[in-house]
Amino acid sequence: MITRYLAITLVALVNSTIAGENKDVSVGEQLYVQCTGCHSPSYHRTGPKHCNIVGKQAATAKGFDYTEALKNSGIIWNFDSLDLFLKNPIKMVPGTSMGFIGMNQKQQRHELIRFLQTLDNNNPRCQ
Amino acid sequence: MTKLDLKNTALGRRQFLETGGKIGLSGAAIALLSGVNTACAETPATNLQLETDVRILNTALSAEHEAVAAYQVGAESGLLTPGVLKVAVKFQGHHKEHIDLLASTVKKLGGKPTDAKQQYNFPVHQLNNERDVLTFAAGLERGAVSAYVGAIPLFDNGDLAKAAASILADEAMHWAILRQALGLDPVPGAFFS
Ligand code: HEC
Repeated sequence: MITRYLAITLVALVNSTIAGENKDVSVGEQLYVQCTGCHSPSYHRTGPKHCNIVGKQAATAKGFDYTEALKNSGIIWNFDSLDLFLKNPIKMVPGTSMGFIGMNQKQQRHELIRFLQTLDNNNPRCQ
Repeated sequence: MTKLDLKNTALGRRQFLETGGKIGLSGAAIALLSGVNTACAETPATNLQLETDVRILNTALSAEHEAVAAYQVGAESGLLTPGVLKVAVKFQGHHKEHIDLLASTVKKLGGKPTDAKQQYNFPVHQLNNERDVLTFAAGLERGAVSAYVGAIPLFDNGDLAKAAASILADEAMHWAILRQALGLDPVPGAFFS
């Protein structure tokens, strides 16, 4: 019983340490250059804006003309769905107009998603 | 204007219909295509691959429209000295040529080329001097290079990949010149993704 409790505490500790380390999103921010041909955090361009993308239902930003494919995808953007999408957008959403081959390195995708997670209303880039 | 040679693939004869944001093939076109596919010894593109190619081209086209509009903002800003203005107008001219090529290719493939947006939300309030405009333009060109790097591997048709790569080369040169003008290392690395 005690061992189990200790194990849980340990897992919690390790998790919080990992979360602490992940506050630095500079690597993800650098990787974001791969997106800035089409996206900006705060305004629609060839692709829709990215502010507050995490937690949102796909294809719901106002004022952007999405494909039917993305509109009908039913995706909610969270860490896992973004990971899958960024690995190969066209495979996950056949018919999407996001003409991007994808990022095959998991580590890079994760860094980038951590950066996307910071694009909320508190971020100066979203104000 | 450069013409894209599509004769290898017989794609030029294919007909698409635009239906509610989705590109669909008419019955007649499908019949025509199935003939082309069997008659064509080269690896024939499926309709799906063709639709994907058209979509990728249209996304690139949309980014090129944005570039033309952005250079227009820069050119009309009154912030550029005559020498820089001349270069900006020249680069804008290249992007216009890219538009011509991409749009005519989309048409050749039977698709409908994407038009420029009515309005672009550029961060104009952040453009207060020549340096700001150059930085803005350099950022767009840098982004465009990445966009082509990410798009080119998706093309089913090698001729399209080749044409897109030639556009990428031009935009990489723009980026280098703009960096040079900003006093930055014009070529800051060996690889850019
Ligand atoms: C070549 C242009 C292009 C590039 C490069 C690009 N995107 Fe996109 N992106 C788009 C377009 C266009 C859409 C809208 C797709 C649709 O409607 O099917 C989109 C949609 C998205 C969406 C869904 C948005 C929503 O509101 O549902 C996400 C998330 C996204 N992109 C993330 C990224 C990230 C992260 C990168 C960089 C790794 C990236 N994109 C690179 C063009 C691009």
